[in-house]
Amino acid sequence: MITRSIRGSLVLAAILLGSAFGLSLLADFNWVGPDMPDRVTQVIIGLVLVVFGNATGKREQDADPVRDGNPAMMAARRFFGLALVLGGLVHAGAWLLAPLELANTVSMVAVITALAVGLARIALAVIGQSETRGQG
Amino acid sequence: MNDVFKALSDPTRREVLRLLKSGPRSAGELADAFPVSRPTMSSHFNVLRAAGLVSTEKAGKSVIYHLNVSVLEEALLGFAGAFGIATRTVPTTSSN
Repeated sequence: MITRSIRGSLVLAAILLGSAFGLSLLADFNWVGPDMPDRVTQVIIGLVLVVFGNATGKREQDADPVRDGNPAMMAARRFFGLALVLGGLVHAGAWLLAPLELANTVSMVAVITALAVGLARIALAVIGQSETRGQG
Repeated sequence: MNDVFKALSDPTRREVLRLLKSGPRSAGELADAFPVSRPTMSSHFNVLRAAGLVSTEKAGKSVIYHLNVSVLEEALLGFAGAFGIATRTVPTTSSN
């Protein structure tokens, strides 16, 4: 049985691959500029990051709140999600508006920073959780 | 998404979500923090649950509410609080 999240991921992958393939075909026929396939694909990647980041802080509908993470971990997950959303928006915005060379640098810095900050927050929550367990 | 907007349109429900940001609370603790009747609070909880903004866990006889919001929903909560009807100030500790 295929779950809703796997189906969503497959649809996103199909959109990503389909648009990249379609745009590269259009570029071959000179119907769009040579940099358009890269730009559109990268904008979609940024938006995918936004979509996944948005859902990061949310539990699955039937998830057990106790097993799925304590409040501190959920707060860290929400922060990680916010970082991913902001990183994804900067990534998409840069590839939409900035010159190619600048877009490449800005988008990479934005996503790497978002991941680093988000993961650091998760690590702090995990350390806090293990310290609490150690005391208890 | 309609359910989410409906849930966030009420200052009491926004305040419940704000309280849940500091950690899970029982239905009784949450109800004690507001000057409204238990049935009214119960209907607020139902709206929040229907919108998927809270998740629940049974602990004996009481129901524990957990915050369960996405980034967009948290942003909407912030916007609704900032630009909507002012949220009521309530004590953060229960009287029990």
